[in-house]
Amino acid sequence: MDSIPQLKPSKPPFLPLLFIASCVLRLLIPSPLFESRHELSTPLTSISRLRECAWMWNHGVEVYDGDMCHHAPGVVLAYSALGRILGGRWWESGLWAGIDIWGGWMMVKISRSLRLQGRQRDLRGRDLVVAAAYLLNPYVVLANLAHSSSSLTNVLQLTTLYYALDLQHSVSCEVVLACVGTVLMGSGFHTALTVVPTTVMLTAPNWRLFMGFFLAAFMLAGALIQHNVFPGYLANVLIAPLTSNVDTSPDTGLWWYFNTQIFDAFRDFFTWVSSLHLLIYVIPLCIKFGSTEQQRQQPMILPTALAGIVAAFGTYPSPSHSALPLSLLSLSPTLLPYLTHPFLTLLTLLFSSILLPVFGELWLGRGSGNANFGWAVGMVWVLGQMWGIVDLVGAGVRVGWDEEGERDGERRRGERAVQI
Amino acid sequence: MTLLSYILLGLLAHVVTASYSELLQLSPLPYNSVLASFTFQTNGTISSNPDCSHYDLLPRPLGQLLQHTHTKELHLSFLAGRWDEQKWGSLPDSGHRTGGNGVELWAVLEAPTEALSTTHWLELNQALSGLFCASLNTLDMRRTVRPIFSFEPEGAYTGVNGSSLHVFHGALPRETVCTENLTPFLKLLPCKGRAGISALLDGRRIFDAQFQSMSITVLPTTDAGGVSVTQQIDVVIDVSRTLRKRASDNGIIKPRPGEEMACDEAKGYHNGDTCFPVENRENLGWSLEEIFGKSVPGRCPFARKDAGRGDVRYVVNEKVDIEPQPFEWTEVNGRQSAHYTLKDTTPFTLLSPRHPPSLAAPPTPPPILASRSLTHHTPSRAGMHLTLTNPSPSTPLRISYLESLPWFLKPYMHTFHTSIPDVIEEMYILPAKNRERGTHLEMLVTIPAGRTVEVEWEFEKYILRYTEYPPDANRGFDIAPAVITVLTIDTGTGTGTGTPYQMRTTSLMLTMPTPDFSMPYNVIILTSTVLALAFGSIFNLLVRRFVLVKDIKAAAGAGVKKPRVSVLKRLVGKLKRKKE
Repeated sequence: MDSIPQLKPSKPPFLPLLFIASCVLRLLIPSPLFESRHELSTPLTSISRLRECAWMWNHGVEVYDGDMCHHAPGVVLAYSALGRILGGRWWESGLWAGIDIWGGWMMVKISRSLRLQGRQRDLRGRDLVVAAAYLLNPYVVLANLAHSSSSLTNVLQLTTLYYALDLQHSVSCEVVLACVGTVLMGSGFHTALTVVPTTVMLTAPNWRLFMGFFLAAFMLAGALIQHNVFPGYLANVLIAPLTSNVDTSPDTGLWWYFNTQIFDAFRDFFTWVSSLHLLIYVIPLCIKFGSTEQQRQQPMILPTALAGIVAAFGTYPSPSHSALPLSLLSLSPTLLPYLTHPFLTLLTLLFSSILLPVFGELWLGRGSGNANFGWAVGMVWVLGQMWGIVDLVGAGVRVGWDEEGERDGERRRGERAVQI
Repeated sequence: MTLLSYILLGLLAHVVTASYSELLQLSPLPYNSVLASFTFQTNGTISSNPDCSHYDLLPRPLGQLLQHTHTKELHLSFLAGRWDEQKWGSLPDSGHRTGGNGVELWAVLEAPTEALSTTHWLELNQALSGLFCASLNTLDMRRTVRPIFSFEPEGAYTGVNGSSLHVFHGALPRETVCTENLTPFLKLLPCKGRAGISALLDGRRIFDAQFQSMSITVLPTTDAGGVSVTQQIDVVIDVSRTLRKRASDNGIIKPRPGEEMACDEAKGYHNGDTCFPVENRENLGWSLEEIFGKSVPGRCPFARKDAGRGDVRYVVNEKVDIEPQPFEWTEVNGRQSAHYTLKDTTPFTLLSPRHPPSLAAPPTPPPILASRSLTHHTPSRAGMHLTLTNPSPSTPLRISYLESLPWFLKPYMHTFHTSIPDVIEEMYILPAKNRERGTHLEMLVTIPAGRTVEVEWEFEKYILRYTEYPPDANRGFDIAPAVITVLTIDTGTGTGTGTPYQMRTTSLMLTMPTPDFSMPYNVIILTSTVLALAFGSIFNLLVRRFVLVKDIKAAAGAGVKKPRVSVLKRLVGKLKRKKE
């Protein structure tokens, strides 16, 4: 008997509906409420600064001469060109909604390519969850409404991850371009810290080739920008995230208040330590989570952990930077059962997310209250993120050990284990 | 040979002598005020050779300072109080001798390179701060701008290359002006405040006034090395307050009793408890002794005698009956001016009679009315609002506006907008650089006749470092006044008339968010704790190896297990063993 061809039941188009709904969400909520909030925008990502950069560029004032503009030249040029072509500011919400849609789409593509390569179990409905984890993530939405350029940075990082993952074990110009573009258009050091090690690990064994291409392209682009078009680019855009000292405006991180209060004798030291200390996490995490065995099973642990560390302990952080690791967590679903204290982390993050705008309103909006309150809330926010990262790393290590045991024939999953 | 050269030098010194003249101008103003302007002018030469200079009337500290820093022109002014333009009209001397709140200094320095001129400017500030007991040494490059439209060299420059002249401008709005600035000012005069009109300048009277301005202007003249140094003090004294202070026992003015107040009885609510003060119907009479506490003791012997000019002038709109009789009444700019000459040793006093306020009304309104204020002031952001009014009904007004903002105030020029479009002819902006220079904003504005232009823009404030806050951090920071110069308008039918008018707006108080000043150690240790926690946790997770619990139990079970005995039983056991 011939087998009757079975019709696949048609699934309702949830994914396009999700995209449309998130787009509408971003277009409907009025953004001026969020634009100047200190929790959502930092001096490196604020839209007011970007508008000022565009104004300076349009009026022939040196963009990187003073200390106003820290945005990448590509972003400034694109924004000013759009402003001139389209006129006014009505298109901003649409542009940012489009950027987020692109980010959601990249998440879907990463998830699909992970499934295709058999790196994860085949789970249906995964696309929808992954896209929703990015598009409906409250920090992503709020950062988008604030028109912060970290939306663009997050999306560029996702793009680089997709290309690195998709074209496994090969170096192609998409990867290099994506990586260079991310570093140049994003905030330099921060994006480089997440994207470069991950790409190196994922494009192994050709990593030397990749590093060579990357460094050459990066240096060439940087030199051109510095000498010809934008003097001061080096100091304002690339070095600014490295020195937490440039701007002591309040944000949600560790370092702004620290730099206000530190004694002058130690200032230089801590200025550089505040960002360079992140480098100590890169190599150990790459060693632990970058080996081929781990990569086959959970390739997304490394970028999530690195992004989380940069967002929590780096200079000029904001919840929009923490949105990326939270969203990337959805790409490692096998880790979730291994998390030991997700509830604590979630509650801490929720608690501090509610108090951060309260602080903003009190101290910066009304002039009452105390700076200590805001700093303490920032500490709690960082602490919550830290617990999340530690949980994630612990889960990743345990999962790796379990998989290793599986390969050796020993059954370790579900058994109690301690670390000694 | 040397004797001959000495004789020649001596002759030369007498050929090029300095001259000195004094002038006191008293003009009654409406609402019982008097504007007293003391002008002391010295003309002399400063030789370019520092080893061979002769100073007699020209003050030597000033001369040596100008010579050392190659300063060609100097305008230093100290101001306390506020000039009320709506009551008193235009600023005296078209506002050129009056600076902004606090101390304002602008100078023209000659130097071949810009770096050298900057060095000389800083040296000039430090020397002037010592000379005048003002903290001008804090006028470093963070508060200095190089103006483009607003300040042009005023003196006579012959044979000097224009590109070697550098104009610098700086202001300290927070500086308090008091007797310690007046005393060195008077020390520069030949008579040093002991003879002539400078004897009237007593700190307690001067700084009790509503408006006090002291200025020194050094301009080059057409002679080689010649300078003219003008020292001017303008004081607006409130006559009724001074008289009441004098009449009271201990200098404390008590409120006027109800019977003595002049109330407007036409108002509906007028009764024994409510009084609406009536406009002043009559200006009180006063004498020099009542206002300044003494009369002029005689003339300064060094002052030049100029019969046509007079040493003391009394300026009103119409002739009044003043005592003593002036030697002449002349008409100056549509007003009547009574001239007096001082006798060498005879004290001089003046008695101004009661007169209707119309006699004292200012003849011309100022060409521009301007005010600047802060709007929607939150600790992190605020806006600046500028109102420029052209009172003239027929002529448009072209002004240049100079603003020098501190570096921790970041203006967002993309929010800049004016209420009337296309009034800004040209704008120059130099963005601020953290801790190095402030924002320099200068623009040329054309205000249409009879209209008011409102300019608004937003800015953001920074949080400063712990040590950058002054001791009274919650008072706020002063923003220097903006300088508005009315430029002569080329109407096409002829050049503009009169000298350009210059005025300053008020200074602004900017409250900045302050950190907690008691917390540096706590902040540092808590931040470091969080970092240590993070690093320690991640390090432990990455470095340690996993072992299954059941494997540990198995390994532990292989050895001898000690029975768990309670502490109490062990102690009892020990005691028992001791006993045995």
